[in-house]
Amino acid sequence: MSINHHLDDATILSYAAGSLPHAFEVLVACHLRQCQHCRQRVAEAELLGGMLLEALEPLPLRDEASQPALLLADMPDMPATVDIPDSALSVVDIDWASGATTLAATGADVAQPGLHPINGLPELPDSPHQQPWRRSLILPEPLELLYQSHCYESSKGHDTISGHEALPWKRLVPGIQHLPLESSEGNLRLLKIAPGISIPLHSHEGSELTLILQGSYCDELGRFQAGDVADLDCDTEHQPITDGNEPCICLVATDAPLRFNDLLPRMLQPFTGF
Amino acid sequence: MYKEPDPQGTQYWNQCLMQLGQTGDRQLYQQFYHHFAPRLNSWLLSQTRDPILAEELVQDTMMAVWRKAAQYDAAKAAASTWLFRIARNLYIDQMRRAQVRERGKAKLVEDDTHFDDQPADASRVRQAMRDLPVQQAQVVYKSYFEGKSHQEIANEMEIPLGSVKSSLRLAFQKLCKALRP
Repeated sequence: MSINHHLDDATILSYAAGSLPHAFEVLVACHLRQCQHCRQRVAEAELLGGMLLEALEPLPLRDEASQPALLLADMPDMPATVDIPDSALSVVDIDWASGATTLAATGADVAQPGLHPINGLPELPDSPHQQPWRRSLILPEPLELLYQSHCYESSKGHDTISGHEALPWKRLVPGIQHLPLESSEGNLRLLKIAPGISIPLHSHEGSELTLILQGSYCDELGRFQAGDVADLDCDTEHQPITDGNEPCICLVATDAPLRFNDLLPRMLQPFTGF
Repeated sequence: MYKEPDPQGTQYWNQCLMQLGQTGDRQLYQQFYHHFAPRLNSWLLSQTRDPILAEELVQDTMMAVWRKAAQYDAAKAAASTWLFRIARNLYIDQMRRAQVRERGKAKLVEDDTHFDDQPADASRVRQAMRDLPVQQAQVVYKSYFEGKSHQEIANEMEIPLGSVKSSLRLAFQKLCKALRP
């Protein structure tokens, strides 16, 4: 899969710093699952974070018990170099558009992409406590279901997400359904837009991040397909139109309501929640 | 000709952590601790604004270093990057603990990135930060050290959201350049 639209550097930096609102963080994590380019960019921002950390003025710890010798007093000696199997250090990379689930190895070769026997979901590596330098995030349930069903379908050679049929979509306006997802900061929702639908011209009070999960749309900025992310801020005015012949499913994170330019959508706003 | 490692240099700490992972040497650990724990403490205090919580997170991070140093790989990340990731993840976990329900087990991991083993060092970044225009330095500071979102920064500094983003973008690009001249 080739991804043509990437995250803005400002978003990358804030994600690396840990300061994105939760809704955006979830969406960015989903995009990173597919996008090596943005993963590398995040690594740069983390390198910068480490350098800034080193450049900080040291602030001595006040707690006396925090002296390293005391901290380690009760600790057993560290085991000599542990052999870690390659698979434990592998990275799961789920490629939505091609349906391929690949394991990018840290070592030279990966023997077995460990697939879960029941749902075909790749067995993910360790919990954050086992590998504390890895970032992990719990996905909202419907989103996780979409990923799971997609993996399952793709293992049988299908290319589309069928799991979306099972989700409790709510109709917004004819041709557009949505499903609000839980998020502790910001708004996160799934949108399902029938082919050929035009979303009224709107701009944004705050930021809007859109990740295409299936299908595609076009707007003033280009064509957006599965894996692409549209990272917009308030200066952007756009009117997306879905193309192709399958519904366009996307994940949308916003931190403020959208501003519609026409009267009708604005009147609909109280009902649609945008 | 052999050159003593610069004790302030990034390479030095990368080697120190690698060696710690191989040997479990407590002296080496102390050295690493004395360098990084007080800096972590600065960072975590500005993030949490809670001196007790900050010190707890420093301890947790440093314990993780002791237990996991064997898995550190200098070819993949600088020691300070590795440490930054651990501390940031612990900080985020801490902040979200109350909010996130134990549902689903999806873990999103990303670690296929590589680290160019170039001599990047903190003093160059410090200088590059000093060279940034005030507004750019402020937005970087608020993102990395205060955990503020773009919108929060815009509100606080009373500038448009678009300016926050473009300042961050420019600063990021300049700082990256300072890392890899």
